[in-house]
This record gives sequence, C-alpha cells and structure tokens, in this order.
Amino acid sequence: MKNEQIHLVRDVLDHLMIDKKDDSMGRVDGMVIVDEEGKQPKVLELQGGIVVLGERLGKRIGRWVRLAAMKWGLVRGKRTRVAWKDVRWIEIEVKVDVDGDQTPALEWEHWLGENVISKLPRSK
Amino acid sequence: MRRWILIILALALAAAGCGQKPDEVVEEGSKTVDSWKKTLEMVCGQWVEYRVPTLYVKQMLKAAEEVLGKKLRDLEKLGRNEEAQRVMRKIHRLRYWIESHQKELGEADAAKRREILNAIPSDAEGP
Amino acid sequence: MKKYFEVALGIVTSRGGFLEVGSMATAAQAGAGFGYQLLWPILLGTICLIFLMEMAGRMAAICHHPLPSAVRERFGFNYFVIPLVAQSAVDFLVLSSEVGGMSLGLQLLSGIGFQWWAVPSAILVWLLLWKGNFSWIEYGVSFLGLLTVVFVVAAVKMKPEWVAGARGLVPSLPRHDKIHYWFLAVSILGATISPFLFNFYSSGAVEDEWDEKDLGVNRATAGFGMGFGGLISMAVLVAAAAVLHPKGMEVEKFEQIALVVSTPLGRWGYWIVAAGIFIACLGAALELSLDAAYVYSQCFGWAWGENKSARDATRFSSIYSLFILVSPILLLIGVDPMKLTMFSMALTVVILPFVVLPFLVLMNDPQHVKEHRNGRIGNTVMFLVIVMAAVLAVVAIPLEIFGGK
Repeated sequence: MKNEQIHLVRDVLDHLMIDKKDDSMGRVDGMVIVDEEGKQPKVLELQGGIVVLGERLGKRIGRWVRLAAMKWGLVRGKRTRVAWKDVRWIEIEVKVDVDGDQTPALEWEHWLGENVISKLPRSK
Repeated sequence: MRRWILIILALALAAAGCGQKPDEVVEEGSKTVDSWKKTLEMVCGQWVEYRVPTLYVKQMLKAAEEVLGKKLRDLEKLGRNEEAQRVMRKIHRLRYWIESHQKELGEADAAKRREILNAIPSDAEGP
Repeated sequence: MKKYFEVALGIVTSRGGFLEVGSMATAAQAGAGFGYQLLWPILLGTICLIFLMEMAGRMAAICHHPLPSAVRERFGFNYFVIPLVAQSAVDFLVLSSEVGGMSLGLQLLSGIGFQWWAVPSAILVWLLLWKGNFSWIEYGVSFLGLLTVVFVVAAVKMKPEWVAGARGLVPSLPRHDKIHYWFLAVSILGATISPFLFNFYSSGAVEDEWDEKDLGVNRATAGFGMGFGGLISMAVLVAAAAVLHPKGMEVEKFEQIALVVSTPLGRWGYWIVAAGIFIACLGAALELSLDAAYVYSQCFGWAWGENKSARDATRFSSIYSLFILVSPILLLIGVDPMKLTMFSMALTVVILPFVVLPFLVLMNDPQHVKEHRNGRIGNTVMFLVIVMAAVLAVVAIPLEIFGGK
C-alpha cells in the first residue's frame, strides 16, 4: 500500500472487505492492534464475524453470542482473520489478498447454497 | 437500567389500565352503528343499480357483522346503562337485518334487491 | 430520446411502493373522518420524501454504496444495530400488512375471504423475487400499479370542493376527535416517509449501476415520481372526503375503500380499484421483502442483488425468503389487516429519526458524495425532517394507544 496516513476507525473499521476474486467477504468487524513495549503499536489483523460483532456490543452480549455461535454456528464461532500484510488498498472498500472461500466468512453462503437453495426450484 | 425498565413498565401498565369511560364507549358504539347503517345503505343502493357486484355486498355484510359484534361486546360490559341499551338495540336491529338477508343475496333480482334495501332498519323504528 | 423515455418510465414507475395499503388506509380514514383537513400531512410527507429520495439516489450514484451500507460504514455497527433491529420489526409488520392488502384485493375480486389468499399472495411475492429480476419489479409491477390512477379519476368525478381541498393543504386544528386527528396525521406521515422507500431506492440505484451521469434522471424521478405518488394518495383522501365524509361514514374495514371508487364510477370502477389495490400492495410487498434483504446483506457485507441468481447471493435470497415465509402468520391467526396497517404505520415513524439523522451527516461527507454535497436548502430540509421525525417518534406510541381506533 502507498505510504500514507490511514484513519483506522473512519476508513477501515466497518468497511466492506473484497477478496482477491473481487467477492464480498463480509465487513471489518474488528481489528487487533499489537502494543509491544517500546515499539509503535501496529495493526496485526482485521477480524470479521458474528462473535466479533457481539463483543463490540458489550461483554454480556458478546458472551451469549459466542456461546450461541459455538453451539449452533457452522464454524463454531471461528473469526475471519485477515493479516494486515494482506491488505492491498483502502478506499470505500478494503481490498485484501485472501481467497474468501478459504475463510469462515463465506461458510454460511456455501452451506445455504448446497443445503437449501439447491433444493428449491431453480431461480433466475 | 433497571430504573428505566420499571418506569417504562409502569407507563405501559398505566396506559393499559386507561380504559375508556362508559359514555365514550356508548358514543363510539352509536357512531359505529350509524356509520355502518349508512355504509350498508350506500352499498345496497349501488347494488340495486348494479353498480357493485353481489360478492361485494356479501363481504360488506360480513364486515358489518364483525364490527357490530365487537361493539356489542364492548357495550354489554356496561351493564344496565340506559344509553348503552339503546345503542345495543340499534345494533341488534341492524344485525337482525343482516342475518335475515345474507342468504338471499345470490338470487335476488332487481325487485328483491330493492326490497332488501328498503328493509334496512331506520332510526325511527323500535324503542 | 432514450434518456427522456428512461426518465418518463422512471417517473411513472417510481411511485411503486408509495401508494400501498398504509397510504390507502390512512388517506381513506382521514378523508372519511375529517374531510379535506388532513391533506397537509400528505403534502408535507411527499415534499420530505422527494428530498430524501433524491439524496438517497445521489449518494448511491456517486459512491455506488446504498444508504444502509453507507450508514454502517460511517457510524459503525454499535449504531447500526438500532435501525437494523427496529427496521426488521417494522419491515415484518408492514410486509404482513401488504400481504394483507394483496389478500384483500383478491377478496374484493373473488369474494373469497382474505385469509385464504394470505399464503398464495406470499408465494406469489416469493416467486416473483426468485424468478424475476430488478427490472420486472421496477417496471413491470409498478407499471401495472398505474391502475390506482382510478382514485384520481374517482376524485375528479365526485366534483370535490376544491377550495376546501386547498385549505386542507395548510395545517389546521381539528374541530372534533382531536387525538384521532393527530394519530391520523402521524400515521399519514409514517406511511409517506417510509424508510424502506429510500433504502430500496438507493439499493436500486446501485443495482441499475447509476453514476454521475444519472444525477439528472435521479432528480426527475424523485421529484416527479414521488410527486405523482403523493397526488394519488391525495386523490384517495379527496375521494373519501367527497363520498364518505358527508354521510358521516367512518372507514373501519379496508373493504369500504372500494366505495370511494364505485360510487362515482360504478361497476368497472369497482373491478379496477380491486385489481389496483392488489397490484399496488404486491409492488410494495416486493420492495419491502427486498428492503429487508438489502439491509441485512449490506449490514453484514454479504453478496447482494436482485439481479443475481439465488446461488450467487444465498444469504440475501434467504433473508427475503424468510421474511416472506413469516409474513402471512399474523393474518392467519386472525389479526385484522386494517388494525395491523394502522399500527405499523405509526411504528414506522418511531424508527424514522434513526434512519434520517445519519443521512444528514452522509450527505455532507466528501468521502461518500464528493463534490455533490448538500447545499443550504438540502441541509435545512434534512434538519427540519429530523426535528419533525424526533417529535413524531415521541408522540406516535401514545397517540396509537389513545387515538387509534
């Protein structure tokens, strides 16, 4: 990425992630920043998923969401993690050099396609 | 947080407990029966002139019966209130007219239609 | 020439979703109960809606992101969860009302009770979304909805009191039934300034791949299209005022609305209005189902689009399928469609501030609208809409409890 200032909350958080195939892979629901003593804090990874969103709403809600996701979720509450080094550019969307199909982000998309949509009459 | 929930609950209960006063119930009942009487007169008037199909008249009779039945139940709760009794009699007369003619609609010719329209109880009838 | 045709078609069809069960029910009740006195909320609501729709279209054309997406990006999930939850509830209730409206239209046409039509109506909505594409909904169904112009014909044929009508365009105090008057005013505003309309419009602009070249089309469509829709709503009120109000008749059942057309126009007017009610509510049901799917998909960053096949946007199509699946439930358990409609219109008003407030910020954010930011007039109108929405949100529920019939 170009050597420029990035406003993490304004320009990254809650923005759409686009994978290397130009497909949507959810939003940047959270970020992990590493703060090592004596060093500049840096962004380690972007995170996505319902568990991350639950945590943003509060500790109690976050715990309930995590338990529900672990019990009923397809990926058992696993977060989508995109390392900062895989971020290619940031405009209104965040382009990442990751295949969304290989992450938990699109599990429900695939599962619904194989187990529900395919059993219904053919759509357009 | 708990305080706000209690306040909201109290307001909701107060609102639920704020039932209508008896004379409001009677006034609403009276307006409803008058409104539906005029509605049925308008519908049947147009039916006599073949401006609306019979299936519409059937629907309106059914709708009137439903609304008037509900008002009747509200008025019955007022017990021996004289004004409520008067309105209930009006509702009963109109419902009797509906019940008497509902099944005749299908085969009614022009003359029969006019007869049904003219049979709608007027305000002057009955005690 | 193609551009003029596109604009004309857009104007004619963009009123789809404007005239639906809520606007018909509230306008008919208002006209029957208060004559021409409540024309002013329709006028006020239409003007506000024109501004909001134009802004929604402008933002979508410039940043290629529809409104829900932009709100999530700019305000974050902690804010967006409020309109998400609220809009889910309102979309469900209003969608149920629209399926109810479709069912009542079919009841008027067939004589078979509306509850029998609830499930087939929902299936029809689903099939059109499943098999059709955005153009079908935008043009096909909306074009058929022009049957509702029969209300305008009926209103004119009744030779209404035009002077009294003009006076009704100016806010006035009620002479009787004060609480019910204000409840109707709030419900009319809720039916007119429905968030699903501008969410749908902005998502549609992205589906149609609008860009800066389409800003003129957007302005014309928003202005004339919504104006046209407002005119038809006013016609419902005027016709009800001319037919029902002089006789002191109140509108308590949706079936009574057919009388405002059959009285001046006779049998053919009856059939047309019945068909028009069915199609108008069908159009609104399609838009509402899509709106729910748009809001969820854009909130969570899923693939979305009515032009995509279900396999290419599985979560998007699952959401609208789910909303449609549950939409007949309230009707099947015996909830009266008229009461459901009036309740959901009042509730729509409650969520309005949460949707409109972020809009003001976004329309002044160069990241989203670049140099096409709001001018002074646009910002003033938005500010007034927010203040009005906040006031309405506070009074809507008490008025519903004490003034709803």
